[in-house]
Amino acid sequence: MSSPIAERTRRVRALVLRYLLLLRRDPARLVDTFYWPLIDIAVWGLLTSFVAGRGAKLPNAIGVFLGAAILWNLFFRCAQDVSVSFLDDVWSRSVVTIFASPLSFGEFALAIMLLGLVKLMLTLAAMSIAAWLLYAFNLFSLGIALVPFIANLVLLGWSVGLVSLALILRFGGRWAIVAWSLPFLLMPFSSVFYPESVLPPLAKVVARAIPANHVFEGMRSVVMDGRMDWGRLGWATILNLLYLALAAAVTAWVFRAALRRGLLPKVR
Amino acid sequence: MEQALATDTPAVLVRDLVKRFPDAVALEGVSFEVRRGEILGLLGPNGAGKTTTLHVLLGLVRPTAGHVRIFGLDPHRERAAALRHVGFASPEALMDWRLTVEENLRVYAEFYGAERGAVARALKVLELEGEARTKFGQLSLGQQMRAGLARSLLHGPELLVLDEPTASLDPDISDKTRHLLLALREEQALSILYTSHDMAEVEALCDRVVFLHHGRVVAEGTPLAVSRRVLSRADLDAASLEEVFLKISRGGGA
Repeated sequence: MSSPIAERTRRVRALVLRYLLLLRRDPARLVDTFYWPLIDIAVWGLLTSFVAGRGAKLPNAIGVFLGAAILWNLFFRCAQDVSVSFLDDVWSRSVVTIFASPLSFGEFALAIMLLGLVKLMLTLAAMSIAAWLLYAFNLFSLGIALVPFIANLVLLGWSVGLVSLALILRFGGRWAIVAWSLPFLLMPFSSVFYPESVLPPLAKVVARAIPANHVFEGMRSVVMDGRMDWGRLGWATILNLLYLALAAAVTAWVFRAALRRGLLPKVR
Repeated sequence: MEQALATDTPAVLVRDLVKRFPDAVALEGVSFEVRRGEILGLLGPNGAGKTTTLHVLLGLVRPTAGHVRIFGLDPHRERAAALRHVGFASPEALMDWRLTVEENLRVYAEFYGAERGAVARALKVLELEGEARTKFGQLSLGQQMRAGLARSLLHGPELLVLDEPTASLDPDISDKTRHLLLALREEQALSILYTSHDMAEVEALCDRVVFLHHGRVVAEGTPLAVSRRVLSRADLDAASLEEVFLKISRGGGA
């Protein structure tokens, strides 16, 4: 005999366990978690060294670019893990097996979001160690500000991942590409490697509605000026909470529609 | 808390079930029940509505009208409470192809809160001990089906929903599977809802059958009673579901 909460926790834990076992069994998952992030560190570190060597006037350039590369990767991993975890079930033809069990869609979504968090920690550890060893950049020199920055990117990653999942559920596995492309749609407006001020006027309007833009602007403010922009951080948090609520509502609505239209057993 | 099952309800109750998809009507008022400890064959030609019925029962597809109950519980409103009593296996319900059979079963055992030792027991019963460390994707179709059956038995369900469970099995394993199902019914009073295109197998296994055609129940009863009625041969002394199937498929059903 166990309580409903204990049962829910057990089912969520079982799903997380399965994805972690996959990390061991599937080299593609290791590549996503470690290989691409480490390549990013190597390339951005070398580019920054080159630019700095040419006498470019950018205070703490290594911190600006490597910090941005690490934080962008964390957002991207988080977004991708939510949708790719669902795609794993689509490709394995195990969607029916999973959802013909007591598992609810909410538990499924929670499990893949938590998994994203676990893998984010692994990516964060690998990238920050590599940045420190190769370029003597300590990401944690950002101090306590790092926590709200990462938390905001996690929230945005979950929102984007849930929307990708909803699109795949509605339109099928042929829409798998959104798992990789949708996060990158936000990149030009997120001011990852350049300030918001260089964006054209219309793009600036869009950028202000993108929480990641405020996070990266805030990160540069800490790295270059040693100043925390609480206003931007607060705005990013409000937007993120709004977007996550919207993404969750849309995904739940698509799931209910999928049950009505009989899409769940057919998703390929 | 674990909900005690009401003892006066059938294992499965399907009432006036209607399912309309945007481009087709799959079920038009299907009603039947699976009694406790009974093996019921849900039969019919392709497109008759068997799989849609199973999907509605398993909470995968929402009905347009009508309702289903599993031991009195609605799998759409009381999902966890209803589905924890069900084991499901189908050639369409696979497991992760990159994990080993044992790893997959471990995950599902945790999923259902199966007791310790359930994985080893299920592997033994389905004669899969030799494949425990083989990746699921490297198994033959028949072995995958057996692994699916092992998964469906992990948590000691009271109801098994089996969609063509012997479709990819060789005659030896098919026969063993039939004996296993009969033994499980004897030992554990398991109720089984079963679809198959192998009419000889259905005659050997099922207490009753329900024939669907174009989303409607066209015949229901024991295999012998259905054979007598559909074939209009009251003198039959053995079921002949193959003939019944052909007659119904070709539009000459009851």
